[in-house]
Amino acid sequence: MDKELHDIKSDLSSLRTASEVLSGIYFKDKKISLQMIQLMQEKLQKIKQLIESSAKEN
Amino acid sequence: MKKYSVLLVEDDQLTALSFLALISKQWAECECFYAKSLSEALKISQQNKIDISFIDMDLENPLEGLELIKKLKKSTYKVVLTSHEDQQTIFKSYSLGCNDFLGKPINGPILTKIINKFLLLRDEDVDQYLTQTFLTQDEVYLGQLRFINKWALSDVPLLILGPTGSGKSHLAKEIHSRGKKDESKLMHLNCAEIPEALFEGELFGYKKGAFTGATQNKKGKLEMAHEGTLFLDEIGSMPLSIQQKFLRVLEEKTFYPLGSEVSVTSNFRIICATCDNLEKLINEKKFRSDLFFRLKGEEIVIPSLGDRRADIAIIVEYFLSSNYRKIILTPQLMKKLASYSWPGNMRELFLLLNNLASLDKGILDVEDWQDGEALEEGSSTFQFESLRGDILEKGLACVMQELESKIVMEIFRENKFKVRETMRQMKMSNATFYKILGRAKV
Repeated sequence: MDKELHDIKSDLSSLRTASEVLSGIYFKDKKISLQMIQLMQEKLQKIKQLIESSAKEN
Repeated sequence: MKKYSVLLVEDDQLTALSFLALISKQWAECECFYAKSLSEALKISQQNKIDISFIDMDLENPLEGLELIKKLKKSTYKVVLTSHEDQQTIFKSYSLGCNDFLGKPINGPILTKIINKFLLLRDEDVDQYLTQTFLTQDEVYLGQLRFINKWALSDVPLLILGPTGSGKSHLAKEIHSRGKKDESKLMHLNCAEIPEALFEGELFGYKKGAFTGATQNKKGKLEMAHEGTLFLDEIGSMPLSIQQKFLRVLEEKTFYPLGSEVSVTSNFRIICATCDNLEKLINEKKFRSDLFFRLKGEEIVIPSLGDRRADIAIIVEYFLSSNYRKIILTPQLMKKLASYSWPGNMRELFLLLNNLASLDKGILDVEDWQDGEALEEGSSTFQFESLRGDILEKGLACVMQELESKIVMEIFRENKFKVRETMRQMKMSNATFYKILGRAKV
């Protein structure tokens, strides 16, 4: 669980940095934006699955 | 061309993209390289000159990023990206050579602060860096040293001139370490140390059976310096018979090891140093003028210590604070040090300070140093009774080592710190001589 918790924290940190960049008015690169959004979706999906499996165990 | 190069080492692709977006917006002057793993990062850093690197502390394995700090060049400004905030990890990172931290999630304004700090250290504190590294505040010398980055980044041959013991090797090493070549590939060959008969084999290498005694293949310094720097110290002592062949290598970058029919290509940067007057050697037909002009891409002249006496105080302070923190020199002794001519330059000064320190006194004054030399009890005559007492107290081996050092240093001093002359007089190999010098912390 410690490893999973560490991974979730790491993913949340990564998501926060990405959202700061994407929400910045200066950032206008559409291709990179889409790539980042896709990676964000994957991370969110992974976090969702971990939360669900953890809930089932408890 | 971009002014600075940045290496990001980060295994998380989303963080990497975010970081690259932030840095390219905030710092237009930079060129970015990106590595996902330790091995990729090492490869990039070997192929490119990296000014600043941002390293994720936890790559594939926890704390793996710290391994990279040790392996990157000293001249690279190293910033660790981390979400760890424990004191132990931070202390470990700094002890390994990390310069700064950037906490995750990455924050734009803090990234800007780190970049500004790096720029400040790079551009404005250059004199401080030069003073600390070369122990000088001499304007003439500093005026030359300010070009160190230019020399380091170009491939132009460098010729370092300066009297014996003035720090030519040290300067060559610093130039190499700040350059874009592989830091581990500095091949040092002191031309004065190699007998003429062995010189060719040492420089060009040889194949097994090339001559009697060549029992196996041996790579020469030229081949080993491929993608690095070849530093030829005391170039004035290069045998005339080798000079023509070496000139051809400089022009073509290819050569044949002794006994080989297969040519070897070596892409190396050449730095030479000498205390000889090469123009005089050319007039005496001992040095080829075409080789001289080929080597003299840029000429750097290190002034003698006698020509920059104000630096003596800096050197003494540095030496004592690094080696003998509890020793103090009186102002009178400092004045005397500053008025001495120092024919052996910094090497002589370091040797004197070691000798003074061995007197085992907390405060050193002028009476501890007479006639330009450190006072050593019985420095030139050895009393049997005193020796006997020492042997019974410390053991024969220890006393013999001390005696050996004393005799060698005495003759070294008499020869005005000329290495070649001392080795020749004492019929001593260079390995033995440098071992004794090392023991005396010279």
